[in-house]
Amino acid sequence: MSGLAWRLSIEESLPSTQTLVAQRAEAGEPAGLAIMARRQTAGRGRASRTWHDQPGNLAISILVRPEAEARATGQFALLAAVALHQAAAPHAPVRLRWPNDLLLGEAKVAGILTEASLRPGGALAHVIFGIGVNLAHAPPVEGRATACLGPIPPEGFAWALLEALDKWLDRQAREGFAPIRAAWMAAGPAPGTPLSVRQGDSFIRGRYEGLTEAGALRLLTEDGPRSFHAGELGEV
Amino acid sequence: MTSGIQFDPEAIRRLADILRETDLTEIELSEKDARIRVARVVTVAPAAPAYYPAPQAPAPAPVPVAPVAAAAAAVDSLDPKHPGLVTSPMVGVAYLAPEPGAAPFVSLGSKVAVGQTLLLIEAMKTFNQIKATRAGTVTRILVEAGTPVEYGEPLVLVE
Repeated sequence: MSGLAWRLSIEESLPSTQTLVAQRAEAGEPAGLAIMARRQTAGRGRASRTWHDQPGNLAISILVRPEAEARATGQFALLAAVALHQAAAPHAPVRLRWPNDLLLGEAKVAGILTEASLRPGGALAHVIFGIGVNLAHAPPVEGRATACLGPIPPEGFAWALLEALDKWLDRQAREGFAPIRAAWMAAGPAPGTPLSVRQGDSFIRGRYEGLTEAGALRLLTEDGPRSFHAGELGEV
Repeated sequence: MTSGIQFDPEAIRRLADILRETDLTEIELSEKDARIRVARVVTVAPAAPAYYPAPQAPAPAPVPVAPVAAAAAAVDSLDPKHPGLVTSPMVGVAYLAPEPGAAPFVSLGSKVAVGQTLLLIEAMKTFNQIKATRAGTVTRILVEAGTPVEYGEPLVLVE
């Protein structure tokens, strides 16, 4: 147990759970706040892609305030991925795609948008996990395969997710990143899987070699081993 | 066997990899008549592998390779200890606007307050808000949108 007092607030309709939790965080809200919306009218994804919500799916944003340096923020994105995988695994044979997409086969069932605020001097002020999970419907997204996990009631899934997050935040605080890295790799691709990382307009191809101790993606490329801290994974 | 060195690109790649992962700026390995030094300028350049043949005479000081020298020259007018210099607290990719196509957080000449967001750095799909640590005017923006940044790299100057 992390000792965090989790508070799940359920709203009928919101423009964006992420924006609301960010406002609360800036106003001093303690860690453990989670807001879910049954309907989101302006859900946000990476690079401001629209996150396609449908009733019955989960849209939730979760505020935590871990004690960590700025350079560790990416590790919390992987921690959230491990927790999401744990909550979803009883429902379907899901796998992780670096850093924190949840896949069923090749189809995306859930994604995480993580936003962090830093204190002057570099320590983390707060981290907000915005998590969307296709629990009832697989929304059609052009050019991307999607799938859904359920039907599963969103509230029950939200609590399972918070329980898993609680457990992994506690482990992170006591044991550091190593157990999270190990859990991520156990749920990630098989070693040697061909992957490509998009950086700007170019793709770098290679074979998956696990994660570095800091959580960066390791690929064995034509030019030797490389590690990536950012970038989007594409099909090879 | 000739005397001198066997060029081992794999060794250099591995050293460069270690350099990137550890945030070190320089690794040097020496053995009898061979020496490999891999260095990077954290403030600007990504890891730049360099390889030096064994010195025949008293060892000269290591000579930086050209790209590093060029990169260093580009920031020579910048005092790395300037109190208004905002540096990257992590390895990632810099974004100057909250979303593609939106107005940037700040531009040259912008007045900023303490705590105001200057830019975002993405690492592992986490968007980190980098904030002003003092009030002033933005006099330099040292990164381009969408480019990778290293730990400690100068981002913005507030004076």
